[in-house]
Amino acid sequence: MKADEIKQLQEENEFLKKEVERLKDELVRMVSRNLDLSERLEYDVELRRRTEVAREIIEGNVERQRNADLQDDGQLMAIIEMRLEKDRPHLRPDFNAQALAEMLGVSQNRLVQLFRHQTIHHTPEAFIDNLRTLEALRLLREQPNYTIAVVAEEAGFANVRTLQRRILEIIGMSPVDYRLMLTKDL
Amino acid sequence: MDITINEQEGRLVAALRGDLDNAASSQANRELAPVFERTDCDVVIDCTELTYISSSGLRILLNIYKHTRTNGHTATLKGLVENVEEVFNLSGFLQLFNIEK
Repeated sequence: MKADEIKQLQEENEFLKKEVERLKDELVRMVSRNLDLSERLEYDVELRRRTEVAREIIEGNVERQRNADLQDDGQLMAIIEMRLEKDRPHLRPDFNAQALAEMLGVSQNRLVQLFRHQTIHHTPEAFIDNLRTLEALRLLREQPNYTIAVVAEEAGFANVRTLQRRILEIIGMSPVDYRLMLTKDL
Repeated sequence: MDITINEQEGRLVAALRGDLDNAASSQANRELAPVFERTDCDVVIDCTELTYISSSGLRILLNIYKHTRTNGHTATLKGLVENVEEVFNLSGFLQLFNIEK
């Protein structure tokens, strides 16, 4: 092999060595960039996993809190029924949701929430009204000598018109017809 | 994660044992610091007992590679087990490091 050929091969060899080094540098940059992306991906996956765990914990706490509230609601509802049965404050026409809240020492808002979840009447006013209507029906049955006006007053209705409307809503007839029906049955 | 470093036949050999995951990478970085203090020899990463490596672990090894290359020496991965070898392959490390069985 001639000296100039050897020199040419040596030069080519040097060039290829440099090219290999350049490619390695390029590869290091690409690997480094891939690692950046991988680390970000791993961070995202970890963040998502932690978020999921946090969500499960929060949902568990909300569920436990809801159950605790329901239990408290049940206790409060039992207290209301006991107090109303004992003192019968609903037989006074001025007894309303505000008076009930004051009697129990709770806010009106608390009562609204309670009745929405715990009763079919949905509001304290409707619940009190229902107790008055039941009392009026009892008086209509058991006190045939009471006039409708007296029944309304005794049951806690502010006026006869409201009594008539409530009884019509519940049993589909007027107080007078209800009494007539009871008389016929006898 | 357990790391030991010793010199064998003029080469610095760092043996990695266990999982080199994100949690272990800070510790690994500290324990591999002596490798970065040496500029006079080739480095061998013995992976015979390495069971897992995360991207933060790969980052440490890439820094070792760059350090040895800058100093005109070689970096070698030794004893790769199948799953670890696949990670090194996918991340391009097999094209950078020398490989020993």
